[in-house]
Formats: sequence, C-alpha cells, structure tokens
Amino acid sequence: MQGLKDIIVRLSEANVDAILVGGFGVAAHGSALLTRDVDVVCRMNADNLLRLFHALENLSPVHRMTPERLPFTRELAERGGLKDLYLSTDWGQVDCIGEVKGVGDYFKCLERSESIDIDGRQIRVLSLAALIDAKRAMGRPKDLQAVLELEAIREKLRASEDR
Amino acid sequence: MDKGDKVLPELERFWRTDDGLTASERAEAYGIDLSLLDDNLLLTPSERLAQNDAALEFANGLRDAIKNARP
Repeated sequence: MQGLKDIIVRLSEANVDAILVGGFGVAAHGSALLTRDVDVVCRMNADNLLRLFHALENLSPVHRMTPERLPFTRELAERGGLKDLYLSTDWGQVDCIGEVKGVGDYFKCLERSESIDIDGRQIRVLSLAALIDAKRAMGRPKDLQAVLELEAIREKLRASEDR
Repeated sequence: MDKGDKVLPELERFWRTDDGLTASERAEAYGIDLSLLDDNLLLTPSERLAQNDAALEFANGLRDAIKNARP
C-alpha cells in the first residue's frame, strides 16, 4: 500500500518546489509522534501548482476543507496565487501551504532547509532548528510535544557530535 | 488560536527553557519516552517516514476493525 512517504517522492519526481514541514518533517528528524498528513511549504505560483497538479492528478485529489470535496483541477492550478491547499488523495492527506509561521515563505524556508535521502531522491526538509521555531510560533498544545521532542533530539545530536 | 488550542496552565512551564533543566530532562518530565527518540535516531530519515506510514496503516486497520465489530 502507498503511503505519505510515497507522496513526498511523487512530488520530488514531478519537480515540485516543496519543502517538507509539519508533523512529517518532525518525524523525519526522529520524533516518535505519529502524523496523518504531509505538510509541505510550496511556491504557490502557477508553474509550480501545475507541477503539483500533475504529480497528484491520478490520485483523485480533492479539497478536503470544502463540504462538497471539490476536485483539485488543472484550471485552479493554472490560476496560481493560492494561499494554501488542503488536499485529500488516494494515498493520504497533503497540505500545501504558502508560508510557515515563525519561519516565512517558501524562500525563507529554503534557506533554513536541508536535504535528506528518501528512496534515493534528495528531498528538502525544514531544519531541526527551523521546525522548533515554527512549532514554538504555532504554540498550540499539540505543538508542545513536538517542541520538547525536537529540542531533546537536538541536544542528543549535539552531544554525539561532541563525543 | 482556537478556543480548544489554549495552553493549559499546568503545561505552560514546559514551553520555558529557563527552568534549569536540560532539553532531555524537560521532555522526560513531560512524559516523553526518550528511548523512542534514541531508537529513531538509529534509523535513516527514510526509515523513520516508512515507520510512520506503517504505524498509520496499522492504526487505520485497527479503527476499521473496531468499527466493523460494533453491532
């Protein structure tokens, strides 16, 4: 069965300008928290949204925040300039956001991202420090455990580097 | 912040970093099992994401089984 990891690979194969953030980014850094969706910060221009559309088009993408669950269409992608996209697909939920609170837009996130190998592809993920800043800026109860885990992970990594 | 997102007063102290605790001590005091983090740090990022997918699939299967078992 295909899962959230496969969505990330699919976006990379389609050359979508996207950076892994949110719970799946937190998991990539070693958190034990379980997440049910993929959050990526994207360039929200028409070219990139078209690449996103092509990456997902055979996975039945629909806007999950609309009661009618309207399909994510090529026409919408071509228009560009969207703020956020909350999609449900056959492989799981994908949230494409234009900005990460506490860090900034795609380009600010790119400056604070790193590359990780996922199934042989180089995927950009928000750095540990930037994810901590983002989760602290969000400040919700559900972000607290992520902050505590990420800060503990950072401490462990620093300790192992010092050894 | 939504109404349901308000930070509980008893949890506020965990947001602070001036409590004299290390990050690991603070996480442990909150109730986080640090051994899970140690285990994850032995995995590659790809393996960590695959682990999330497997756990999610298991949880969904369990949820469906419970739903189907109800009269």
